[in-house]
Order: sequence, then structure tokens, then C-alpha cells
Amino acid sequence: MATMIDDATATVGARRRGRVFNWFDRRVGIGSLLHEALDEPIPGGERLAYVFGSGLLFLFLSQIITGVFLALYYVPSADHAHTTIAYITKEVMAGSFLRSLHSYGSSAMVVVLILHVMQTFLYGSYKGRRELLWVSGCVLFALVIGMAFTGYLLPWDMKAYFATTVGTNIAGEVPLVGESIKRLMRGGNDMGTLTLSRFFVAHVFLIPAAIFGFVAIHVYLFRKAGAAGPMSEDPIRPTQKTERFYPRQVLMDMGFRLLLIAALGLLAYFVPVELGPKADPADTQYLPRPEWYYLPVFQWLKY
Amino acid sequence: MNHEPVQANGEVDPSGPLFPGRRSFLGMLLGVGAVSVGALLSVPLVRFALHPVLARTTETAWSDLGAVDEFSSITSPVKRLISIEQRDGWRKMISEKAIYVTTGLDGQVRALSSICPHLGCSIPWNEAKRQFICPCHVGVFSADGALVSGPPPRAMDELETKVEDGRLKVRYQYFRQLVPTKEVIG
Repeated sequence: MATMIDDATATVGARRRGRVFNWFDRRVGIGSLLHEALDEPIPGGERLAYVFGSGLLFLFLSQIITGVFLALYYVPSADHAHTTIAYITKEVMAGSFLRSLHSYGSSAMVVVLILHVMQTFLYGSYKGRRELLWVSGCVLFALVIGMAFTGYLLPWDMKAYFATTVGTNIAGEVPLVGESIKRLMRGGNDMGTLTLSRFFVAHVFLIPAAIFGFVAIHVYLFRKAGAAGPMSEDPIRPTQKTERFYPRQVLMDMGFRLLLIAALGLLAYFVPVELGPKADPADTQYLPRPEWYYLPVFQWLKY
Repeated sequence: MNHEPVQANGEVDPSGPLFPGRRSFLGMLLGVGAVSVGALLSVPLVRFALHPVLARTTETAWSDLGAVDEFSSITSPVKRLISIEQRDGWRKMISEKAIYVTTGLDGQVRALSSICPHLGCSIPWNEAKRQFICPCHVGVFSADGALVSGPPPRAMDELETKVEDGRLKVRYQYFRQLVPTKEVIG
């Protein structure tokens, strides 16, 4: 009896979805894919607090798209890097906007990442059999910071040069292998064109590939463990009534994404990112200051 | 004859042979083979990536700072830019380096590198305070380069100088940061 009802429901569902969908569904299995993606049960229902992970993924995609377009004109060599960024900023149509979107997007990733970690911590969403989920998140945290660090040098302006000089010197402080790590990062003793090409390769190939891999692991482990639910929920044995991921949580996620891109777009349009003078290590009058999220470290280095 | 410890119903036969079966042996062989080939192939990749780290650095030459008489009566450190020919990867370039010429307590003319021994920022001379003050993390040095205060682990790095035909010459070198003693790195 139950089978007959299920069959009838499936037929009605299939009719409602239309012929094109059904054609694809029979060949690709979109129906079950969508079911897997959208019908995930969330204990306690949707929450605004759950939007940060999805927001991060969106920002990462935005960084990839803007980054790929920037690479159309950018040349990673000490001779040309600054000139090509100046060309992108001053000559290429929408160049300043895209570069600013990419630059502000990297800061936004750090902000949303911190919010995501705070939400996970406060809600106890790391509890239960979620150790590897937490660890993969920590790796992703390090990779995102690595993206910000390697991308920072690419314009080859004074700020970038000195921030990376200091950063690689700090890496040189790792016991025993520090000096080798520093030389490996710089491609020699001094900062130069080899440093730039190494940072470019890390920024464009190595770290993004690692992020793709770890995002896949992170999402898989999240789905395997299930959503942990609100603060009042037992993350190991959830008891609260569940709500499906679609539509309410998806709408919230989309709303947050829209907010993010609108804020970044407005910022990029009205306050475009500036390009400083070309890196010149002989200039002793330049006052190097790091990006806002490195300011605590900057202060700490004074002692 | 069945060598597999797995029975027809899919369960492991506890009385089966202790040594690995054909499938697990081949699996192990494939694993070892893949790791070995991977390790072998990674040798040229690692050498390729490490080239600038392991390659020998070129010898630095002497650069002219000016007539030695010019510096005999200086009261404050004087900044001079020297041009040195440098190999930067595939390109040979003339790069400018800032040097401070100063006099020590003994009246001897000395050349100091402008690179901070803390984390590598360029240090300007502050005429009002008559001190070198690093703009990054506020390392303070006296006019002869001695460490006064702040996080740097040592004084400003003195460069090798010589007088040739009445001209002061300097040998530009890089030193390791964040260590209490001066170590040449290139």
C-alpha cells in the first residue's frame, strides 16, 4: 500500500518537474543530487548564525573569478608586476573595480572566517564525532591566511615588499629549519623576482588546490556528522524538531551572500584600493604598515 | 584452491591463512610501487624547486662611496646610495642599496647597512633626535649604529670598507636578521 502511494507521489512529482528535468534526471540523477544537497535536516530549524560557512564559500568563488580575470593582465616578475597592476588599475576598463573587489574580498574572507569559527565555538558545533571536521577547518583557516599573505606581495609596491620582508623573516625564526624555509619562500637570500614568482605559484596554484581539497573534505565531514543545531541542542544526539535546508536556510544564506557582494561592490566602487610606489628597498623614508588583521602581530613585534 | 580468507558470504574466515591473500598482496605491491615511483619522480621536482636555495651565491664586489675626505668631518651619518650588480633569478640587474657613512667613537669612518637587524625594514636617520629609528617596530640605534632600545637583537650591521686611491669603498653584504651576532648570508 505504502509503495503504491510512494509511486503515485513520485509520478505526480515527476509530472510537475517537467520533461526536460526528467530527461536529465534519468541520465544524471539530478533529483537525488538535489535531494542530498537541499533536504539536509537541520535540528532546531534555520538560523542566521549558520550563514557564515556558506558566505565563505561564496567569497572564495568570488576571489577565484576576480583572480582569474586579474591574471589576464598580471605578470609575476619584479620587472613587470607593479607596471601591470598600474595598467590594470589605471587603464583597463573596470580594472580598478575588479582589483578592489579582489583586495577587499580577501579582507572579507578573514572577517567571515573569524565569525564562522566563533559561531562554531560558541554553539559547540565541534562536539561529538566532529574532531576531523574541526581539524580540517583549522587547516582551511591557515590556508586562507596563506592566500592573504601570498597575494599581498603580488602588486610589488612598497607596502607589499616590506610586509613580505618582515613576514618571511618571521618564518625564518622557526627553530632549526627556519632559515631554510625563509630561503625557500624567497627563492634565495634576498627578496626579488624569484620571491614574486614563488608567491604567485602558491597564490594561484598550490593554496587554491589545497583549499578545494579541504573544502570538499570539510563539507563531506559536515554532512557525515550532520548539522549540530542551536546552542540548546545536544550536538551528539539531537532531539529538536528538524527543518530541511531548503528553502528557509538557503534563502538566509543567499541573503547573506547578496549583502556581502553588495557591500564589497560599493566599497570597491567608491573607495578603490590604491597602489603604492614601486618596491624600492633603498628608500629609508617609507613608513611600512601592515594590513589591519596583522596589526596585533605588528604591535607584538615591538616588544 | 581458495587462498582468500573471505568466505562466499563476504565474512572473514577466522581459520583462513595468516599470510596476505592474492588481492591484498597485489594491493600492497601496487601501493609500494606507486610510492617508489612517486618518490623517484619527486627528486627532480624537489631539486628544481630548491635551485635558488642550494645554488652558490655570487661574490659581491666593492662599491664606491665617494672621496674619503668627504667623510672626514661629518657630524651626522650620511646616506649614500650604491649601485650593485646583482643576479636576481634570470635577470642581471643594477639595484640600489642605501648605506650610511658615519664615524665611530674612535673617529674611524664606518659604513652601516640600512637594513634593520630585527625584521629587515629600512632604517631612516632622525636628525632631530640624532638617532636611527626603525619605522616598523621602533628599534632605536645611536649615530654609530649601536643598539639603544627596542626589539632588534644587535647593533646595525657594519659593512667592510677600504680606502683605495683616496676613495672609500664598501663591500655590500646581507646579514641574517633576528640573531644576536652578525651572520653573513649573501
